[in-house]
Order: sequence, then structure tokens, then C-alpha cells
Amino acid sequence: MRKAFIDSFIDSLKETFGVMTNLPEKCFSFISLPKTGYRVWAPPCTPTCPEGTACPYELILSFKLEEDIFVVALPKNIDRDLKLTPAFLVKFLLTVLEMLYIPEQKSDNLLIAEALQFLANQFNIEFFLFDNKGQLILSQTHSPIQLSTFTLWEKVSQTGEPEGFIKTRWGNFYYRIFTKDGITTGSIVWKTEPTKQEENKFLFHDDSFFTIPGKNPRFLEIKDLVRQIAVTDSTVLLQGESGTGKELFARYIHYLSPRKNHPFIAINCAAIPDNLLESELFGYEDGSFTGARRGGKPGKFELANGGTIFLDEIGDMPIQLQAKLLRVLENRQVERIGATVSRPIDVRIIAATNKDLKELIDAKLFREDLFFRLNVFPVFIPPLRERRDDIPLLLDFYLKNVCLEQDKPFKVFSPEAIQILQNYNWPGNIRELKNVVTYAVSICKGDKITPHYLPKYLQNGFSSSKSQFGEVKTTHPIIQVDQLKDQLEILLAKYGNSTQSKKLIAQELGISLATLYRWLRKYHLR
Amino acid sequence: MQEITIDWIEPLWYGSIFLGSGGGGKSYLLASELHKVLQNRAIPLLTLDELPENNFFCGVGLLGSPELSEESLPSGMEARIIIEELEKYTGAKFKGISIVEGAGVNIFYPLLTALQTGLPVTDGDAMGRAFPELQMTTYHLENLTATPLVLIDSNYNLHSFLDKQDTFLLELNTRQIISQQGGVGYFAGFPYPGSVLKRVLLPGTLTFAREIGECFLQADNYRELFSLLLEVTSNSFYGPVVEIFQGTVTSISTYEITKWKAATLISPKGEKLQLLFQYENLLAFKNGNMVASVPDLISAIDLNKLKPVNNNEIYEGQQLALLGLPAPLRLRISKALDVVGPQCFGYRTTYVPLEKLYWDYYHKKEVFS
Repeated sequence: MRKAFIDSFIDSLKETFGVMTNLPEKCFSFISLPKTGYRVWAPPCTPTCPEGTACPYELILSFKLEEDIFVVALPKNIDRDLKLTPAFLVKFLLTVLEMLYIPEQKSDNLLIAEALQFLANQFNIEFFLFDNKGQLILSQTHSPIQLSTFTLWEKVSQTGEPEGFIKTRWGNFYYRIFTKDGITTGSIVWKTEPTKQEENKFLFHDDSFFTIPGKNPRFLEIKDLVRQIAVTDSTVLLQGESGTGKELFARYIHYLSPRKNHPFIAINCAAIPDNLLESELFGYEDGSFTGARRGGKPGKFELANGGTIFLDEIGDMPIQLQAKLLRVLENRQVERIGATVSRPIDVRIIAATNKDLKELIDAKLFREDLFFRLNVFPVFIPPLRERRDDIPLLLDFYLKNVCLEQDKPFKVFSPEAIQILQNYNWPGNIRELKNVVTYAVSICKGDKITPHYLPKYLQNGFSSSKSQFGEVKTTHPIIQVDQLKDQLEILLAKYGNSTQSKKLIAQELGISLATLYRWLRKYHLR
Repeated sequence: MQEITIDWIEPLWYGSIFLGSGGGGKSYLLASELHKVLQNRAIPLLTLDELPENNFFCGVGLLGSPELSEESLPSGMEARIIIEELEKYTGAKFKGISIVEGAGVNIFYPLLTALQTGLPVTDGDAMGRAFPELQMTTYHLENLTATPLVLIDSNYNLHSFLDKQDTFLLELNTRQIISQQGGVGYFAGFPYPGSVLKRVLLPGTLTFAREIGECFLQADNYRELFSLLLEVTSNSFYGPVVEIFQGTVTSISTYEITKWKAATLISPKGEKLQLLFQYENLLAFKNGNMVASVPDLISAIDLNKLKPVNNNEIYEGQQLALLGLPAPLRLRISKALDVVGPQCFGYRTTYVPLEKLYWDYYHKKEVFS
């Protein structure tokens, strides 16, 4: 049974990747075989190997299945079409991992995480891991982010192919969408070369700008405060509703700080399973648990050394991890899982939450001492409805950017549309505003975005006010089929998929829940 | 409601030059005149939101050569005459002055008029920068005419254009009169109620011009100036400013008869920039490639004085930085490009937004998610 399984495994590797061979005996003195799980080498395996870069193999894989260790090698071959690209490597690793874990029946997430860890540690790449809603779970970038991660995810989720690459202005990004039982569970997008800065494109190379649009007096005060604290090394706690731009502020602080040329590592504490979060944050030592990678793995704190770590959704951090985080904050040292010694780190910590941490403290879900450690510089980012005066400016800002991104001629919002948007409550804040702008730009063919190009749930608040101008068309065209589908998608993205969310969506659209379900079925939306 | 006080004048002056994009005329004498008059007075400034819906406003401005107007400075009295004349024809009593061209001399002339008439001024204009012709306004985008319009020439003759008239034609007619009658004139026109101005005018031009000017007053060096301008422009309906070039002026065309003019700048690295201008700067080519185009603004800064300069202050050997400022969105939609795009000035090129020409600069560090 096991032999048949291994044979089919080797066959499938051969089929997918071409020639696989056994590794010569002499190599075994340079590699240490895994005691459990798998290990991958991209030769030269060790600095002492006499072959060095002349090694005839492109990749060596060893894995342990029950009691047996297998080693296969992928020879370099110039005639072969396949090259060792990250795309290839992810595929390779996932094939290996899937096969390895079939007997153990581990979850898909773990597979992805392991493949990613390998990629992140072995190769100089930038990657973004998203969940099925486009929430960034894990990312590694070399410089302050050059692009909108949400846009990236949108592009990937719209491709329709499970894997491939997407073209962006910043170059090509590879992606792979993960599915389980036909349902998308997430996606990974990565890039091998850090985005190049074109030389002499403009004279202020180092000072390319980073702005957060907003002129509301309270918002200006916050920006001033942030600018002042950015240059210090103090811990910052960003608080604000979902979609207010907490990560943007975190990056802004990093960009304005002396650490700007060092890594900015963002991690969403709510998006990673509790049992993985600890190893993600702190790393682990060799052999500390089953499946641990040989040689150990640095955690996000170590990866952020010299730079900034952004702990998003800190309120969702498990209480036992909070104690460990507190120690890091106090001693500026991290201890990998299974380690006996601590490693000193120089990291600026920015935490963010949309929850009331004091309530969590009362409910014994958040440590009070950790709260005081994090709350050195509390920054409250106001929701959009509390800075309505900024809405026209933000609409203008995103409208310009969306038109440029979609390579469409510039458009403007009609005064009526602006009025509707200024009066709307924006529960999803800036993120929702950007979605509305994207939606309107996508469907508006002309120069002017009038109210009927807004999502339907916004139009409901619009009564065709009499205009002194007589130019405004108040007759709404029949909503196109794809327009309705888009609206539903926007609402699903905004509210989520739960029954409660669907009730809210139906309410917003002014239809019954049954109709909503019928529409969702019709457009194959879940 | 805000008020324009004496503190506004100096920053507004620098801002008016910057928004002049090379043109707009010298406004120094007019600005100093206002500085004198505002010693113990103030002009009410209405944001577009504050404009009373049913009250009529009239747009005023200078037509022709601002240089000639410096030789015999307007008193504002002529404005009274033309406004009263316009009131006669429209039957409306004007409750405020609107700004047509929010740059150069035409930022200051409405202020002088406001002082003479005791009326408030709108914080918004119909061009967002300097443009040479009457049809290059946001009124045109809404199919609104400039007429009824009353013009007074430098010999104090009144000319009325009362019928609904095509603005292109009006531009020709007024220009003809001006060139025959001393080269400079003042108009009152664009009579519209607050409700219309709210949707037509570009908001906040005066405040923006002042903010731009403050940067020039605050900065001690070019780097600081650039960062200040960046912050101000990023939080405006224009867009973040970008540096197009730094270099020394090596030649400047002196053919006064033709409107086609060019200046050449050479950078320390030997790169060459050609600036094509008529009254305003319209196109810039760096080593043969287009690096900025109208309606985006191309404004020059004298690097030694660290102050904005317009084109009649440029001389050979001068060290300049050329900055690009994205025009407000409303000037960049197709309908607007039909009247303010490069082709409207006789160039055979199409408009390319600064954000496309400097894609990396504009998109490298921005995050919007």
C-alpha cells in the first residue's frame, strides 16, 4: 500500500516536472536528512560542498514518510522548458506537501503556510497571502509597499484561472488560487524581483512622497501627531473602525521614520490560526515540534529586525501569546519556540485594533499590562462619517487614481452624486468609498458620474431633486444584468456571507431575503 | 465666513504666480495697491458652500495685456461702471463678485473690485489656473455662456455683448476691441446665481493659492519648499506636485510677433529641456520626450530667489526648477480637453496626464486599500 503510494508520488513528480533522479551517495555527507516532514535544498546545499555552483541539480528534495526517507533531485537541463521559478517552486512544494500529508490528513492552510515559509526564507521575493475575501494574511515586502494590495487581489480573483500571472504597472505578479472542494480558500501573489526604481525618473529619489489625503481639522491634527511620533521609536497603538486606513497610517509612520529603508512587516493576528500565530511571530528552533522545518525558522519579529512590525487586529491575539508579546516589548528580545536563548531585536512596534481594548480587558480577553505597554502613543483614526468634509477630496483622489489604474479617461462626479455620497454613512469607511468609486468608474462610460452610476444601495437615498440647471438626467436606465451582479458582489464583499449579512444586504437593496437568495443563485454568487 | 485681510496679499501673490503657470501677468503693482488699501479693511470671502442660492454674482477680470495695465493701474472705478451697466441689462442686483481666472492679475483685480463695491468674493474660480481665452472655463463645460458681458476699454468706452453668444466668437470680438483700444480692458460678465456657481466653479482656488504662497514664505531651501508644496498640493483638488526639471536657461525665444515661443534649459548632467509657451507654459519636452502638457500646470521657480516666476521674468543664465502640478479633474475630462488641451493651442500632440508620465513617482508609495 505504502509502496504503491510512494511510486505514484514519484511518478506524479516526474510527470509534472520532468526528469527526477536519485541523489548520488557523495551528496549525503553535505545534507542532513529530515527527521520528519520534508526539506528542500536549492544547491549549493552547503558552503562546503566542493561542487558549489557547478552542482548538476537544480533542486533537491528529501522527505520522510513514516519510517522511510526519500531523496529526489531535479537535474539542471538547458533543454528542458521548466526553469526554477518561484511559480514552479510553489507548485513543486505543494505537490510534495499534498502527497506527504495525504496520509496525515493535514489542512490545506498548513500546506500553504509551509510552502510560503520556504519561499520567504530561501528566495528574495515579495509575496502577499490573501484569504478568500481579499484580506491580507501575511506579506513580505522589501520596501514600503508600492501598490494597493486590494487591487492586486481584485485582479487575481477576477482572472478565472487557478494560476498564472497578472500584469500590473509594477511588473508581473505570479499567483495561485487555492481551492478546497471547489470553494476558493485563498490566494498567494508573489514577485521575484523587488520593484525597480527607475533611475533619473525624477530628482527626488529618496523623497518620493507618501500622503494620506484629508484636510478635516481633526484629521490634520492626527496627521501632525503621527508625523511627530514617527521619528521616535515609541510603540504606537492605532485604533479605529475597519476600513479607516490603520495599515496606511502604520506604513506612513514607518515611511517617515529613520527605519524607512528597513523591512515593514505586517501581520494580521486575527487571520492566522492561533496555533500558527506563535511560530509566525516568534519563529521556532529545529525540531521543536512535528513538521518544524530543519534548521528552525525566524519569526516575523526577527524578520522585521531594524524595521517596523505591524500587528493588526491585536485585540484578537490569544491571551497566552499576549504574555509572550509582553516579554518582547519589555526586553526587546525574542525567543523562538523551543529555544533556550533569546535573540535581541531592534523593532518598532505598531499595533492596531478596531475593538475596544478596555472592554476586552474587562472581559479578561486582553492583558491590561500589555495594553499599557502598547498604548504609549494611542492614535484614534476617525471614521469617515466624522470627517464628511473630506469626502469630496477623497472622492476626487480615488476617482483620479481609479481612472489612471483602469486606464480610462478622467471623469467627474456630478454635484448630485457628490451630495449623495457626502450624506451616506460609510460603515465601511475609506475602503467602501474606494469600492464605490471603482464601481462607478467601471460602469460609467461618459465624463460625468451621475447618481445612477452609483451602487443601488446608495441610489435609494437619492430623490431626484429639482435642478436649476435642467441638465441632470433623473431617469434611471434599466439596470444591466452585470451591473446588478457587480452590486451584489460589492455588498457581499462589504458585509460578508453570513445570514445576518444577507439580511442587511436585502434591507439595503430594499428587497426580501428570498429575492436576494434567488439573485445570488442566479449569478452563482455564494 | 472668512475674510481676506492684509496678511493674505503676499502669499496670494506668490500663489497667483505659481497658478499662472508662466502666464497670468505681473501682478506686483496691483498686489501692492491692495496691500495699501487692506491696511484697515477686509474683503468677505465666501466658500462655494456659503454662496446664497438665489443671489446673483458677476465675474470680473482683465482682458488683454497685464503689462499695459501696470502702466495705468486700474482703480476699480471702471468695475463699478461695468457692473452697474451689467445690472441694467440683467435686471439683477449683484450680491458678490466671482473669479473667472484664479491666477496672476485676475486673482487680484476681482479683489480690488470687491473693495470698491463692498461686495464679497467667491473662493473658487472657473479656470483653476491661467488660460488666455474666454472659452477656456468651466462655464463652457456646462454649456453656460459668458454673456451678457460688458467690456470697458482703456479709453473708458463701454462695449456690451448682450445676446447669448458663442464664447469662441465672444473671445474674438472682445480681443478685436481690446487690440484697437489700447491693448487692455476690463469685463463684467458671467452673471449667475449662487446655485449655479456652486456646481460650476472650481472650489477653494483663493485659499489654495494662498496655501501655495505660504510655502514660498516658509521655506528656507528648495528641498523644504518642495516638501511643503507637496503636502499642500496632495491635499487639494489638483494633485501632488512633481519636479519636471532643474537647469539653467540657455536660450529663450525673442520673437515678439508670434505667439509660439520656446525656452531651452540644460541640466548639470547635460539633459536638455524645451519649454513651449505662448502666454502660459503649455508643453515641456525632455531630451525629445514630452514630460508635461496643458492643462496640467508647468510652473517655474527661480532657484536662487526660491520664488515662483512667470515667463516675462525668465532670462538666460537663470537657474530654474520646473514643477508640474496636475490640473483639477474637471479640466481633464474629454469635454474640457476640447477647449484646453494642447491641440487648442495649435500643437499636434495630445494631453498626457502627469500621473501617467511619472507613473512610478505617483504610485510608488501611495497605498489605498
